[in-house]
Amino acid sequence: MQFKRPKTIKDTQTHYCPGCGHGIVHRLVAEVIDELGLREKTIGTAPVGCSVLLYNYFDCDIIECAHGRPPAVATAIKRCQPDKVVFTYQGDGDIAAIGTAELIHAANRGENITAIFVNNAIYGMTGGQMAPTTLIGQKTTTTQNGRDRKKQGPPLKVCELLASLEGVAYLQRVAVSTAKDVIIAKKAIKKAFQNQLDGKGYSLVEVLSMCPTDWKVTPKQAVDFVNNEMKAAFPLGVYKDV
Amino acid sequence: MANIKIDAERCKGCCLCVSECPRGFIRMSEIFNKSGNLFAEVTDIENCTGCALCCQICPDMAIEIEGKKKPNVPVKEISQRRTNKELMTKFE
Amino acid sequence: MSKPSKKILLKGNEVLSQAAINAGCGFFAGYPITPQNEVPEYLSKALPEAGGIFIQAESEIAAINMLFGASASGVRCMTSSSSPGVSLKQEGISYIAAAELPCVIVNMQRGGPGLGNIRAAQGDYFQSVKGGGHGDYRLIVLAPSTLQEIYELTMNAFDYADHYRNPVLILGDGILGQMAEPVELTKYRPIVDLPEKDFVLDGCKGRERRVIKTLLLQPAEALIEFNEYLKKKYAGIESELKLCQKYRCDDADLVVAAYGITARIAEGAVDMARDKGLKVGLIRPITLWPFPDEDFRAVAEQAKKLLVVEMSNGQMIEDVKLSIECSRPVEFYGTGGGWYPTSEKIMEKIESVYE
Repeated sequence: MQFKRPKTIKDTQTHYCPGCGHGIVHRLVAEVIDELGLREKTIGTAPVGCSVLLYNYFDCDIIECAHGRPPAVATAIKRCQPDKVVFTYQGDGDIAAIGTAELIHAANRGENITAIFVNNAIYGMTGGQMAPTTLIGQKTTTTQNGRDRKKQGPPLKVCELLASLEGVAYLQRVAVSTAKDVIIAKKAIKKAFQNQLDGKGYSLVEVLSMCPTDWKVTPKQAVDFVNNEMKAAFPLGVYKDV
Repeated sequence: MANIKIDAERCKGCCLCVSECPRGFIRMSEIFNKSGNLFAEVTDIENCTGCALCCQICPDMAIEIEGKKKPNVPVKEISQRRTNKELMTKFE
Repeated sequence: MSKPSKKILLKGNEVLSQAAINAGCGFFAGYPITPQNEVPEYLSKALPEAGGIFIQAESEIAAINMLFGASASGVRCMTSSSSPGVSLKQEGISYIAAAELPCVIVNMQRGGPGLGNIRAAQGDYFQSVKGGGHGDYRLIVLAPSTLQEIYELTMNAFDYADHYRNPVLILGDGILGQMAEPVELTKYRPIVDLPEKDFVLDGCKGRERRVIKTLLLQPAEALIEFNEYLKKKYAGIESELKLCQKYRCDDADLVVAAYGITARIAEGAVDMARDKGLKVGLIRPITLWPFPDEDFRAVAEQAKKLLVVEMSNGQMIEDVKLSIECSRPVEFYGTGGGWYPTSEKIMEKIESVYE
């Protein structure tokens, strides 16, 4: 048994807050790239949000995109270089608010790319505003009395939304709030990359993740929030696998 | 013995490994690292089984492990775990 | 006797599309909008036949961001739209300019503001040459006035984009896009040196990984230095690439200034004026950015007055006044709202301002 930092991750400290799930998801993606031997043929896209700086951590070609546009950028890269591996790494605001159109259409065209969607139910980088995936009753700086279903609508469920699209090959929702969840998440991410190698089409893994800083709780409480609240609102599991 | 190494300088003190360790062998330091964080420490390196659950949950890739072994201390005999729970409540 | 040229009759939008293919464009993404629909229609068939990639995007925003990815892949790429659609593209254009990715953007202008109408206009001059998107950046803006020129400038646009690593905008209008005339489809030859694309993201095999990014947070000076660098780059383009055409200007007392299809209409008015014995010339900027200011200054030394004609209520006139530092009176005749001036109307204006 060995457990070492993956080679596709640079040997540097991340800027993420203590207890933030991005570091875990970064590691899982990098491990999968290592295990499948893809580092030298991978082009990743960085979103706008906390993970915009992922190019500081991933040791592979990265293109930083405008907010919400990674699916469009990734579409073009993959179409121009079908022998390469292209992944998008997006947050909830990026994928489910400002970039909904790009997401749905890239998915519906069945673009042969891999999408990693980190859902932490809040806008982290801008300081804790409501995300499309913020839970009912969850307090944010723009829903100070809690998200109200009548005013802001219910949280947007990306896997359920995409499941109806014929172009989508694979959808799974996982979490990184317990070690067991992390191990499952890794398997899902690996499958999403393998699908691309097998030419199956659009694969997306939604990862429920922690944002202790903007939830204004301790890392342990953040883990509990994912386990108790988020998993209830966003049920884990495979939503599509063709 | 599993060779577990926690990089104290990389640790941001989120404590997720503390609650994840099934044997309760991880606790937080009482001193700060250079970044001003309390960092995770292994209390019983001899008996670490190398299950790597701490590595799985660590958001900062601060824990590395080599080797794995069967536990020679039954879980129920380990009292350290409670101690860590108490320690955790201190942070909460 | 010279060899007769092989001309074929095509619409402006088709000429532009064929020019792109001939120049090696390998990727097109666009969204339907009148009056440029023949571009995606033509390319949807012809581009894949030529080995390229055509995508009908879900929006102009997606289309311009697809160019971001295609250009980062090292492929010559183009998108086309008309005024409201080009407004949507501005975010992506700013990112592409910041990332210094070569690409060609086409705007077959229509009437505005808002949804406006679908007739020809020149109301997007400010948007095209003064920025349009956020931040300090410049587009190279080419304004053809004939279909033969559309053909040549479109091919040149790809060269300029690669040479300067900068997006190039072809600013046409609904008339140029929709009209048909015989065009000689000459062979593509690069007109400038084309540097090796050392920015391409194709997987880091045998090399250091590359990053294309536009966020420059740290150190604090990084963005200041980058903007200084851009300033120098743009100054370099300004010193090298100012294209302009003059017609009967040598002894002109009045010089008409117009670009695109308007210049072609104005040319007719200039001939009418000359027939009446009026000393009138025409100056037509081909690059709207960089603006050929030296040529305007040179013309203003001879002429007593300038008359700017636009299919808008006055946008390029500001650059004309700045170029000649207001050393001569500058008159204006414009048709806003998606309508074109006739040579006769311009002639009337010439007679009313001619001294």
